[in-house]
Amino acid sequence: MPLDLKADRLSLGYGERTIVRDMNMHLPTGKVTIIVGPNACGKSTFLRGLARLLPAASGEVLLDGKSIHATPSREVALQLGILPQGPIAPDGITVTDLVSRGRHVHQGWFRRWSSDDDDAVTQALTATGTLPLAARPVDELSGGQRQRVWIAMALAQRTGILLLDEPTTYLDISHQVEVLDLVTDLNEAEGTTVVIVLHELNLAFRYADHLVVMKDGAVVTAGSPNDVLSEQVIADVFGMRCRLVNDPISNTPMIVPIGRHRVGEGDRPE
Amino acid sequence: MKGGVVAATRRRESARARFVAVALSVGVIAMFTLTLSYGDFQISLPDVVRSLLGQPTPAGVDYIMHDLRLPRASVSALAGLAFGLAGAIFQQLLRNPLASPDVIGVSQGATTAAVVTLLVFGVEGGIVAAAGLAGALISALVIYALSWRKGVGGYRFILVGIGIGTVLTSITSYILTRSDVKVAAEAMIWLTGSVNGRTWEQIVPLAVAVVILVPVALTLGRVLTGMQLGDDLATAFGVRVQWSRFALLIVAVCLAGMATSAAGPIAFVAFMSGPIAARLVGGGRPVLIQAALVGALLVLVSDFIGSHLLGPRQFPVGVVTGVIGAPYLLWLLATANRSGRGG
Repeated sequence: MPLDLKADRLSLGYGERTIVRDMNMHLPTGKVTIIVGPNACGKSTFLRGLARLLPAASGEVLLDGKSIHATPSREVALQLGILPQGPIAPDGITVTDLVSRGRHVHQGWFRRWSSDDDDAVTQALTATGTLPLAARPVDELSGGQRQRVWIAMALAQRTGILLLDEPTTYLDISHQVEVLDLVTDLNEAEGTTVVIVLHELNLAFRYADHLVVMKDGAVVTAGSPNDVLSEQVIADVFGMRCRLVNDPISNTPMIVPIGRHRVGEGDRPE
Repeated sequence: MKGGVVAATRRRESARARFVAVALSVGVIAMFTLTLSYGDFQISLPDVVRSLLGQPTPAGVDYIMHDLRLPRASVSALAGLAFGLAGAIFQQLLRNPLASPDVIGVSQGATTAAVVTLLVFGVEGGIVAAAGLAGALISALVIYALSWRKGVGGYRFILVGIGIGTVLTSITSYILTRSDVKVAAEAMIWLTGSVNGRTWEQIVPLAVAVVILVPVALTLGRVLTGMQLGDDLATAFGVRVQWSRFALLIVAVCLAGMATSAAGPIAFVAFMSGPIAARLVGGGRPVLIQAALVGALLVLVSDFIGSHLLGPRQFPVGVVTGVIGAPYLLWLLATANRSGRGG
């Protein structure tokens, strides 16, 4: 069972600049939460704060009721994993070696690499469909393959909570769907609590159990996509008119944007 | 047998890393022995061994072994190990092949401090080693402080370091030109790096440093598998990033400083060893032991070339490593810019 994750009056920022202000949020345990919002709304900052990659300016992140900053970092790493944006692969590293790095926290002064670690890496590769690439150098892979390998690395850490920062960036649509399906598989099979920051709104609405809409460092609305979304919310948050229609595949809301051109008579701006 | 792919790939990579380490060790021992035995006065292998074990040998052998060649071979191997390890730690921590202590002003800090002690204060012996170490630490701290802006970024650290290094080199040159010609000639080793005519008084502190700091570096270096993936992921893995980086840099600075105190800034050894070791081992693993051994081998081989293979004149080892290293630096600068990597 993954531990309970919660932000309590959490403020985050870089230097003097506060980006996330007094955030209270419970991340539903065992569910897929997706955070959306316009650029620079603080969604990535919030995710980094949740994973203690950024110190809290005030307030705290509670993991199982205990402050994440007061808990030894290694203990947190056994419970909570994150795939940040733009991770760096060392030149020449093989897929196996990169995914093995996800086992870092399971290695220690007295605990060397074991067959358990081999199994965890193999399962992560299998889940992401990258086992056939195991012996290849990461430099040689396509963008989609590389992204799946990074996710495999995060899976290999075997944490009950997994945070993903824009995991579909640079992927074409088929790979975006593949990545979100993969995460949903993991959530359904293992009951992993998943929190994703995502750019693709329609995919976010489709895959989220719990949707969080952010603007200017605060939550505008949160809940099931069907309950919380409206054309007015999208207009307020993204500053764009749109039509919300029913996604015929998933029965979730789907955005049809309205710009200034290529718009029918009734939807023309006055 | 599906899990076999992962286990087999890991086994293959470990085996290659081990093989490279063993092969390099054999190379270092072979070159060490060759340095002891080869020269104007040839000493046969059995005599080398006998002399090392303190058994009776033909006339002259003990003197040449213990006063000339053993110090020379020892300081070559030790300084090479220290430079190679220090360079690899810097490069892997800062994720940049340019970030070695001899490029970014740490070795120059040791050089300047040693030259000042020797020429301005006229002190010799162990104090010079201490001064060199202090110089390396101070210049590293100054670079660290000047490039600190909410953490230390790779490129800023390197640019500040190159600037500091240039300032220190100017100071060293100034002191040398203002000094008595005879003393200055002796101090020339600080400009090129030499393993000739070193005394045990200069070698022992380096040996002690290597014996203590190499295991410390290898132990601390275990966090590098996490740190190689960037600060964010290292933190996510539970590594205390700022503390680990600081501790590793201090250890590397001490190694580079002690080696510079004993043998001068042997050009480019720290800079070349890590990349050569990485190329030999392949893959993306952090290579520390292998880089240290490459460093030792580079210095031993370069000194052998400089003293025996370039005609009747002897060249200090730093000249030979400089001739090998400079084209590599140019190549790295050219390709790093073209592919946008290296930063």
